Amino acid sequence: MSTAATDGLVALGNFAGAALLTDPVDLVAYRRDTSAATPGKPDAVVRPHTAEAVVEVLQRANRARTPVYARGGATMYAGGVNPSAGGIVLDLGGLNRILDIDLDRGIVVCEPGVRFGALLAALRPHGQTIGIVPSTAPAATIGGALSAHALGTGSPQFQSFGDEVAGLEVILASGERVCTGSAASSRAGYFQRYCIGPDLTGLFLGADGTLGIVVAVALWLHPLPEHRQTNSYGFADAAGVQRCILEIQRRELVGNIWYAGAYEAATIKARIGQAFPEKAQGPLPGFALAVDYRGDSGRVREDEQRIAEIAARCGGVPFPDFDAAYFHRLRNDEVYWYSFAGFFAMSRCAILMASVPTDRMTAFLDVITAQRQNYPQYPLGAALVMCRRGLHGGALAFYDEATQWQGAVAAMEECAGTLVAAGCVPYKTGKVWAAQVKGFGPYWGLLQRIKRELDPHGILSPGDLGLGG
Amino acid sequence: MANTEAGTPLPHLGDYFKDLYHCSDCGYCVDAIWQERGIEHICATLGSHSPGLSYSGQGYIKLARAWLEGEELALPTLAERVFSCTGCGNCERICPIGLRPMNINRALRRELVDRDLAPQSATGICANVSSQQNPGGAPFAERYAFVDRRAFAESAGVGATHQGAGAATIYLPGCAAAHARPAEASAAVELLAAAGIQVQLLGDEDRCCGAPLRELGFAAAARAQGAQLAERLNARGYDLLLTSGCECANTFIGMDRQRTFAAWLADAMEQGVLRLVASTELPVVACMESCQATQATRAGNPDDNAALPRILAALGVPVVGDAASPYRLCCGGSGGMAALHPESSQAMARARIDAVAGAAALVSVDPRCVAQLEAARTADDPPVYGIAEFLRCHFTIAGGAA
Repeated sequence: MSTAATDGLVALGNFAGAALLTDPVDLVAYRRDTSAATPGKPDAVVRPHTAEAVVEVLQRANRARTPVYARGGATMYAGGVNPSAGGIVLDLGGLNRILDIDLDRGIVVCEPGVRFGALLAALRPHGQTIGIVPSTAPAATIGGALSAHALGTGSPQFQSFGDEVAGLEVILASGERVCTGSAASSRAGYFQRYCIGPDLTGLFLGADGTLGIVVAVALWLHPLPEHRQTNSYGFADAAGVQRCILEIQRRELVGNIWYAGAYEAATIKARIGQAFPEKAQGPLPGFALAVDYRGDSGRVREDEQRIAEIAARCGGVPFPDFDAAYFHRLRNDEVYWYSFAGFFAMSRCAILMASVPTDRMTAFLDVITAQRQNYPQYPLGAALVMCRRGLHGGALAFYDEATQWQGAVAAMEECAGTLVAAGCVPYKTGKVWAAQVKGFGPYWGLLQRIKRELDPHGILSPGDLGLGG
Repeated sequence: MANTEAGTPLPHLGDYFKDLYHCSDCGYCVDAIWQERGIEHICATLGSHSPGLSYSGQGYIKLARAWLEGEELALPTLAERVFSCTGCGNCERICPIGLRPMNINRALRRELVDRDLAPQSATGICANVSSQQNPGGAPFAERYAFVDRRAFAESAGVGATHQGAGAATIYLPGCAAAHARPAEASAAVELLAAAGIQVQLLGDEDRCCGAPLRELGFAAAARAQGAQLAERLNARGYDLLLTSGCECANTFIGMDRQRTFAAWLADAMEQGVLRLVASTELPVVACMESCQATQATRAGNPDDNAALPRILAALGVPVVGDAASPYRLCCGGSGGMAALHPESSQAMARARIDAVAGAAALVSVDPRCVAQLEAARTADDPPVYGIAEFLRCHFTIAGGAA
């Protein structure tokens, strides 16, 4: 990092209470997120507590051409926060205030460093919650979720975290502060995302901090559901599950589904084997669809009945053993996270999250199967989460980090290319999908032009989305 | 894989190789908020000392791995980070895959101690234990001064046998109760007497169990202390060893015939061995959980934090606040924090007090927590009690089993 930038940051240490870390011992812990992506080596960590301090950091970094990587809980799977070009890690954990809960407008406004757990706890007394809650919620931050397209609980009903954002306040690389949506008018505040003109909010969603640093987020509120239940269905193969999900989505029977996942034979056998060893010896379904309903009890029962009928038409049968052995506990205790699976299989888990058209679900699984055969040393699993439209598909490669790290990364890079060829697209892009983004010709060109306009010196998260770095 | 620092092996870290390479960076040990599980935050050090990740469980794992892989680290700086952990164990309790960041911190401390890089305040604790048999350096001669404060039991017409050999039960106050909170130790002895239990006190033969040294990474010195104490205990002979110190109890884990005073008291109340009658209007109490008591639970021992509400319930004492959580933030009394970083340690205690609402008294089973909270308390705060002294202040002895 340049001397000018370092001097500037030291001065910033006394500005607005921002904490500055430059000792190499302190920087070790800021090199990576939960992904297998190559770690970076930051020159400094700045932890501001105010938006004004973020403005100062960006202005000084912009003058000194110093890279800035925004970091929240660093629980993402894509390496977006890894400071691959060195420079500053901007730890947004200090911006952790809930600014407003407006029940009349149905909006909560908070700073990016607020953890999901804190937000959910603050909303509960009001009988409210938010639409999308990732499985990383206890430690994940709101800013991280919007920067990397969080998903999970709520995806069948609300699709993706970005769909639940009503507006943002963003600081550009120049230090300029911009509010999007209706909040562009300071008299109006946050209440509407699509107004005035194009959806500028969307520019910063899933952008991995490459176009600006978000310092305030407005999210839609939803009433806490009164009833909850889970059901699982067993199918002979993935094709039956694909038909079932397609019909559920076509009929829009997703209004009371907060989470739905599809599970491979290996997962079924492992979970049933743990809970009911004797049943694991007999025939088991080749695939499972498990659904977590939440909502009005009467409507949940109606939807559950309709979905059971659809499952039956697609060859599915109730699979209560899977529900009892795994899915009910997973959804009610909510302790599982893809990364933890690495511990049980090998050591860690390299993950690629893709958006998968529902009609290509079996194609996605074919890629996973081929990858398994090509790289038996990295046991590969598939995770499928149902959305309102389409699926989120996760390719999970388990590896021993002490001996197989680089090999696993290379294998997943190959997997990324194969998934795109199969009609899937990057989700949680960060650095793990960067090479593929460059292949989306005109889209890539427009993205680059927008980047040049908003961040002409390329200081924001270089390397993410394939931009700079 | 490199396993050296300038050719020096890192034997203490080697025990944790699997942990270092299995951490998935989930961040739960850094900070997590999970209302359904009573988790409001995880790390008191991050909250009250520094928010830097190098002070977190995850940070210790990463630093240990970097050192093990041969990365050059400024060891004095590393020592400051490593000797800032309270050892509360929250990071281990929340780890979804059972990794041991707190124990990795302890291993790092041992490595640094082996290189004479422990902070001066830590070596000062070591010297205090060696010379005065307590970490605070209070004169050893005062260790059993509490036995002269027997007004509670004497007023009830009950006397305690003390200093004498022969009784089947040995009561060890522990350093915190003996020196920092003698009222708790004296009240404990009187309650035992009221229940008809005659106790031996080790008196001049008492020794620090070594827990403060173990927390700081002085493993050999801790073992030597523990061995000295065990030798004296065995020489006396006993059927039951009772202690008020939660960190002492953790040292005794694995020994036969040992219990904490709080666990004994809870059973005594519920079994009618000890009968007390309220002598004042009973205050609304907030239970201040001890992280060291929680650690004992993790090792399969009875939960002293759970004993506290049992005792209070048996006596009809109103209790305020959420159900006991094993994730309460440390009050700053643990891990040598009070000596290593006094200001941060006080800030931790202040945070614990400030988190309480609607209580007229704060009660803990751990005398070290009581002393720590008392030091941070202002005149506007509720009074702080150990469980035995709380009973002495608000109850009279109606009878025992004797």
